[in-house]
Amino acid sequence: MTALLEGEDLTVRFETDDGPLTVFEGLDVQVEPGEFLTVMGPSGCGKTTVLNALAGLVPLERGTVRYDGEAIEPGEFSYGYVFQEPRLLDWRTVAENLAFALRGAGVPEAERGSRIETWLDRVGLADEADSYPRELSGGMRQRVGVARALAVDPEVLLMDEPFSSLDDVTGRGLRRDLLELWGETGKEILFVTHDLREAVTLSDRVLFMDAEGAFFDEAEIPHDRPRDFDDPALGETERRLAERFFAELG
Amino acid sequence: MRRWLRVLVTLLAFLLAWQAGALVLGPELLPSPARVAARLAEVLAGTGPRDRGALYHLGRSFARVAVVTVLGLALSTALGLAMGVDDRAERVVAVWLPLWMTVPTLVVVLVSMVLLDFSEWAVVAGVTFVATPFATANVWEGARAVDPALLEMARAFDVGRWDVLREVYLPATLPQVLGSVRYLLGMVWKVVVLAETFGLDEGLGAMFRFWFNQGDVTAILAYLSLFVVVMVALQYGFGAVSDRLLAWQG
Repeated sequence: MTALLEGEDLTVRFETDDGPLTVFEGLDVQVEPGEFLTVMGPSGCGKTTVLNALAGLVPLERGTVRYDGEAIEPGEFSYGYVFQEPRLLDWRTVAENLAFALRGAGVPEAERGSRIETWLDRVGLADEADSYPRELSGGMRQRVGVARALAVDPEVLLMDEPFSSLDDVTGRGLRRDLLELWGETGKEILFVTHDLREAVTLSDRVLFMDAEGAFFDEAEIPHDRPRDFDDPALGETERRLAERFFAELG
Repeated sequence: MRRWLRVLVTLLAFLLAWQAGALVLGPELLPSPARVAARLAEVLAGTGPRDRGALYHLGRSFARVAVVTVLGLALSTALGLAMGVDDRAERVVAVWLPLWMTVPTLVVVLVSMVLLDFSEWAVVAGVTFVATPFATANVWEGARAVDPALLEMARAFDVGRWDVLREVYLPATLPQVLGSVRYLLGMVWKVVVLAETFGLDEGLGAMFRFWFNQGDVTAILAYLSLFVVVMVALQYGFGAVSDRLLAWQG
């Protein structure tokens, strides 16, 4: 099967006061059509930079990005981005925050209202269209972030630890909702996390990154869907992968 | 204590102190509030020098203040934002800003009056020159503090430069812009009156000079009361507008 989104020989280096810092070098990543792929690794290993490099938000020193088999400029494919923090405009209402992204995506004005309504409804925030972000809870703000990313109707959803700052109950609810939305929309998701249980619950496949920014292992997650966060079988898979993962990381 | 009650108590305390001062110093040096109020009613109702009433002179000063405030605000917002957005603009203007801020107000007003032949434009140019750098520095600080995470979000959603300026930079720096307006309103009034005192025949400053030359302290204080009432009303009115515009801060 041809990968939908592919990064080949990706190399990112930043200039720092102490000289050049290599985040990763010669990295390959492929997201298959309809796949939920997770990049898992310890904090600071460069997981987020993988997303940002594909999205064209950080410059590549070397490497090729392909979409549907064709070489493209990084970021020149249809994606929606859900960040670790919601990154909302505090001075705009929830609906206006979505409109901001829709305008960027070139969605005609006449279509924006119905899209905003649809996606706020899908994430359970239909009544909050006129609220300001500061009036919402952390979980609700993150839902706005998810709605904003989906409202632009992207082919690929890039998600950077979107539930890591939420409490356990809110995080579980949002993960369940995300899986439902993914099932309904069939979009490819490239997800980043440092939480193995989250990776196992959500993903089709997990790529493991070490502290030097190299993929050292990958695992298919064979469990049927829908998945239950508390399913003991998932717990067993998590335990098995943790042994592999942490043995490698030392 | 309620706000209006606080204002009333402050006003009463001020009038009492004034009355006490008038009793100690005598009416020649410090006329009582009642005498000044009676004189104020006279200058408001009747005509003063050059067959013009106090309201005419107030109007002249007010027009100058309005023009300079709008000009100063436009210039400082444009310069401050440009410095926040563009490194080159920042490098060029930042070099001049300290110099621009340290030129004494009095010198600028005098030089402007001489260069522009004591015309209307001499006041406008001189006061704008004096007021703009402080407001620029203020807006620049605000633009520098714009959250880079929001700018990255805007890039991820492919939002255009103009929309980023309008939807991110301007609202994010609105507290600083409004602070600049408050500052400009206060500063511009004072410097306009100063400039009028030096070299113009119309406006509140010209009236201060005229009545000073006549040795009429009561008339000076009557005009001064008018000036202060307008200043305070403007500041209060602006405060209400400002609170409304920043309602999203909660």
